[in-house]
Amino acid sequence: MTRPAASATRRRRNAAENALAYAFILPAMLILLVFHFAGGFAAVGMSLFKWDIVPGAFRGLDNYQTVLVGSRAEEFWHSLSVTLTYTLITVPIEIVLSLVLAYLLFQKMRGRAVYRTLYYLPYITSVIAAGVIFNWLMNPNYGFFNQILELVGIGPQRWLDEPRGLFELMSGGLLAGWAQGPSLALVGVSLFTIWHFIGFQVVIFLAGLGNISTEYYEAARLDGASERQIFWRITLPLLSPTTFFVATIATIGALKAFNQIYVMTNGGPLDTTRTLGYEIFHVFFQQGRIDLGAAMAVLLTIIILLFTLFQFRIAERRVHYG
Amino acid sequence: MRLKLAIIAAVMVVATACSGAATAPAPSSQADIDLVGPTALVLWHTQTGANAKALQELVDKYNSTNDKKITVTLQYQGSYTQLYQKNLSAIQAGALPELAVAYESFVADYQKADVVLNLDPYVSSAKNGLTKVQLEDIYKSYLDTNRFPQFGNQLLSFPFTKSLLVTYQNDDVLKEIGKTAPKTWDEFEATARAAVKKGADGKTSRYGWASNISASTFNGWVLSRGGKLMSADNKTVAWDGKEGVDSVKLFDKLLKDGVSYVPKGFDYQTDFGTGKVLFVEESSTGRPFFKSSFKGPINWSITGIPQIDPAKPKTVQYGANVAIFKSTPEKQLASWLFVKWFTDAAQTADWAVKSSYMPVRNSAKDTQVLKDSWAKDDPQGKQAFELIGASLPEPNARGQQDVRTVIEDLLTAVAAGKVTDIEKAVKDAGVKANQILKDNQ
Repeated sequence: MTRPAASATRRRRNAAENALAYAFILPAMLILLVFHFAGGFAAVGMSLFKWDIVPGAFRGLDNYQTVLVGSRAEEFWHSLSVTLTYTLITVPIEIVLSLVLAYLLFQKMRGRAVYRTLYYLPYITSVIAAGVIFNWLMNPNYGFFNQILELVGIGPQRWLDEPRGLFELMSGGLLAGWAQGPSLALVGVSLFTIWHFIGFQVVIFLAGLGNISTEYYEAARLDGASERQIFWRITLPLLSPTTFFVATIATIGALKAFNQIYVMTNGGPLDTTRTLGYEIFHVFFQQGRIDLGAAMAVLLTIIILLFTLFQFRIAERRVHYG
Repeated sequence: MRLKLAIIAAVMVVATACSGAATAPAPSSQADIDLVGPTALVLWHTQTGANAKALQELVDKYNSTNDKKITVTLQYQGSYTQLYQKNLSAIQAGALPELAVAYESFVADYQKADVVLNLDPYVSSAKNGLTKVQLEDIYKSYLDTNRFPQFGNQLLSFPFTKSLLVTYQNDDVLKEIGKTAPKTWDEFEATARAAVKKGADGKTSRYGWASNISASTFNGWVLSRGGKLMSADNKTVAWDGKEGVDSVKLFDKLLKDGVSYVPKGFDYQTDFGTGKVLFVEESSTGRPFFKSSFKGPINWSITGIPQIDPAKPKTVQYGANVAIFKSTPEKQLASWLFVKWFTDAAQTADWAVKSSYMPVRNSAKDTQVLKDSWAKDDPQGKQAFELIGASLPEPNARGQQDVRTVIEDLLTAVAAGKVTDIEKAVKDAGVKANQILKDNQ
């Protein structure tokens, strides 16, 4: 076959492969377009108009001004602060715990498959159903959590109804301001979140651990490295792409938190669990302020984008791809 | 520029769709038209369990007996909040049902989009309306709550599931401590204190009062102390005065003294049924739920909430109404005819017996079905019924839902010990509530 003829055949084959690839991603693209991008663009549009139950006049960026520095600024910044606190509590604990669990579950042990399934179960449980059950577990009068506290000599707590800070409660009310810490209600929701999502992260870490070549371990052991050295010097650095992925996904999830808040606390008590995701829902659907809710949603998207970009910048320096 | 035009075009499409749902106001003659063909109606509601079954039975009866070929279809939409959210979405989409159960504050929001039918022409229609006697038979406060000063004092909804704030009282405990039912707040405090019992471990085994954190209950406290909930012009709250402060102070004092506690969810029903608390202030509709929590036979009764002046008792009126949305003249009239039928003495009595809501007509008390129920199964229902005259509606100004949150946040902060100056806290809550009302004008 001559060179031009071979080239034409390759081009035709490439075009056919490309068409096939596009056909495969078409359903996903359609879903993304209809349910994500179209909704996102609609939110941007809504945020530029006066839209109090019914659409009104074009307002430009006035809604953003109202949310950021105007009459809704207090609610917006408060809910953003709750969201960041919630993210700071849940993400690091989820990463550390899931890494430890994955490391243990990666070892050769009897019933390993059973343990792996057990840790994954919470993740496939409905957030709504599990949230309702945690509501019962954290019932101030009859809840399991308080029974456990009683066993160790700690009095009953109001858990999801408790607006006081964790450190405020621990110090007997001696601390004030930010030193009081997150409300016990937010801690309660965070515990649920950690319990619920950790299974997914364990699976990701298990996949990451499986991708590390055993040659590194064999070489290290031949050189007399201890297990602790192997973990810190080999496993952890080579897991950094996985850790980065888990951190990114967990952070985005925490910044968008809504379902567990809706089921467990409705943003209360005293708005101490009112995340930005819940605030958007409240303003948009419960107050009928489509304009302000949409503006908040656009701002949350920008915040998530900024966080993700920041994480990528960090990743450039800290993540090792083997 | 293209993006801007596209956004404006998209919004115009939605706006057009919405304006399609909100047709021009009905002339009074629309209440007198003749219905010829079959008319299908959809009613969005929130009833579950036995209440849903009872409602379906009544609707089935109407569908099979009305001579206008009107067919009502019930559609359950979840909780009141979920129903409200669905209606807001339906307003955007121009896809509202013909009727929906709604609290007054919901109706005020819907009317912002001008989609709710003014019922005045229908009520006063010579052909299809209510006679003077029929109208006077419906409790005035039940009608007053459905008139909206914010919208020209129009009657925008009609009473549907009404109840009132009452005191549930464990008569066995009352007898044990040698007290009678308190009439005033001072007597209430003394009786509640006397009921407190501690176990051998020093823990409280019986409280005097389960003090719920509820805006409606707070409103009842204010009314019972002679206060008002809104100013005369209906633009600012009036509960932030002495009556509100006194109410919160008593709430705070009894909590701190261990006489009362804040129950979680509906735990107070079980606590009452198991004798762990003497008094609970709750909606009269809770009767079957309280009964189902009883572990053994107990003597209990319903009384009015304590008063500052027992000769002029006041409490708060609970419950939802039904709103009719603007549609075609035929559907609007058919919807009204169904609502009118549902609130006739026979139906409202039947509904009251099966659902535990209060009948909306005074003459319902003369129906055999209600007499039998009160005599055999539900003497507490009669006790509650006799208190209807003391019940006053809650405000129906737009923004009231958020004002309720302000009140509940105030009580939550007090219960958590986060309030040191109650007068200031009540005043601050009033300022916040007024700002909400102003923003919603």
